[in-house]
Amino acid sequence: MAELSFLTFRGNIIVALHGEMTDSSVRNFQSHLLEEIERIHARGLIIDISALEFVDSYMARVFVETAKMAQLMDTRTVLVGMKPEIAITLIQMGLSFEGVFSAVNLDRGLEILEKERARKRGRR
Amino acid sequence: MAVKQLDALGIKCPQPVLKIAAMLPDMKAGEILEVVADCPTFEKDVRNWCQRLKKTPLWFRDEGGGKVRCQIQF
Amino acid sequence: MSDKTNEKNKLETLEKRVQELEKENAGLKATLEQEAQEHEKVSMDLAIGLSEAFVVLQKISQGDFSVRASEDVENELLARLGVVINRTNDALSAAKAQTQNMIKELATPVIRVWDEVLVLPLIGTLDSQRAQHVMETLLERITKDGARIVILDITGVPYVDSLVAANIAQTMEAVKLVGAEGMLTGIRAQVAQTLVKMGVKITGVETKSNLAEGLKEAFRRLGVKAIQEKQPGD
Repeated sequence: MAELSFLTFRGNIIVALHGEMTDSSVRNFQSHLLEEIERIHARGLIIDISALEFVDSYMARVFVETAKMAQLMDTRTVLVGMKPEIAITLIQMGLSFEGVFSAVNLDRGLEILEKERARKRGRR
Repeated sequence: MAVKQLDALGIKCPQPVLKIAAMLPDMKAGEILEVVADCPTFEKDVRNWCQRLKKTPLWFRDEGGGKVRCQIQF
Repeated sequence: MSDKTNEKNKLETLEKRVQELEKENAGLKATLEQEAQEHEKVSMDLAIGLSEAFVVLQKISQGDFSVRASEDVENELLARLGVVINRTNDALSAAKAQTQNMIKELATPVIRVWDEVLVLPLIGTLDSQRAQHVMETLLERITKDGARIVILDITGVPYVDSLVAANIAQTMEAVKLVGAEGMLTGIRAQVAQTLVKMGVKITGVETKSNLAEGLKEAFRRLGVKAIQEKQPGD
């Protein structure tokens, strides 16, 4: 897997995944990502998987897990650009994506994070 | 299952075999065709044909006067 | 004496001639037999080639387009026949595939009723194959159009079996996963019964009684206002 690069945009971390990911590179991705969230106190996290041809159940579980971990650190996670065939496979495998937001593209992902932030402010 | 009849008397080989071939579209797998012919190479030709088309010749009977009767399972 | 010698000579010549004729006769017989054998072989090949063609045609007539007639046979006529049969087969199977595609497309009419709002009205019985196709088509369109809200209207679906019910639930989940909001409208009494009795959970999906209500909800979420300019009877 190519080296991960985290982009920071208005307090959000944006990371785009591509190429083939092994189980160890997926675990690596999780710990690096959480460290980065802690370092910059990210408010939102966008994982762009539109370039992934293939997402196995392990990867999917790690995504959901990462979102839950980020949630504990007060960071909302949006999965962006999941391909239809991947969505069908994961759903038919019976995986649950509760607590994870999804968006068609990056714009929508940022929109969701903005809305969530506004909601939080309103509650305060 | 009804046995279908085919009369190939008075015609020379390979015409009887061609007549059997022409029956193919009407025959379902497992159905039986009874043919009577008086061509001297009839039995040999039918056996040959059956082998190539993977059909089963059930029996041949010499009825005298050059007449041969046989049944083929499709 | 000379007469006798003469007779003997004549006899010898005749005997020789007979021998020659017999030889010639045997040669002719052999040629004839060879020709008969060749004739037999050709006609048998023809009979078997035709039989094979019949078998292929029979399968095609039963809708099996996977069969091929052999084209590289010695007999030119049979080879031509094979080519023509295969060509016909190709044309037929192409036509069939096209018709099936058309039916599929007609069966899943995804309509963009507003910017970022897709409606898929389903009509008729759903089998799991069609439900699967509905799921694929809908998700493709969401990704392509960047839809926000998707309304699956099943007013025209009188009943579903448990497999299809699960498939509908999965479709709504997959819609969420690719990044759109799903809405289910027009659930019939029978369908509602099946969904609950089979324990199919449709989580996080808004359900509305009919398509109009669904559209109103979609507009509300998008902040679109529909204004009626004239009251009926004005």
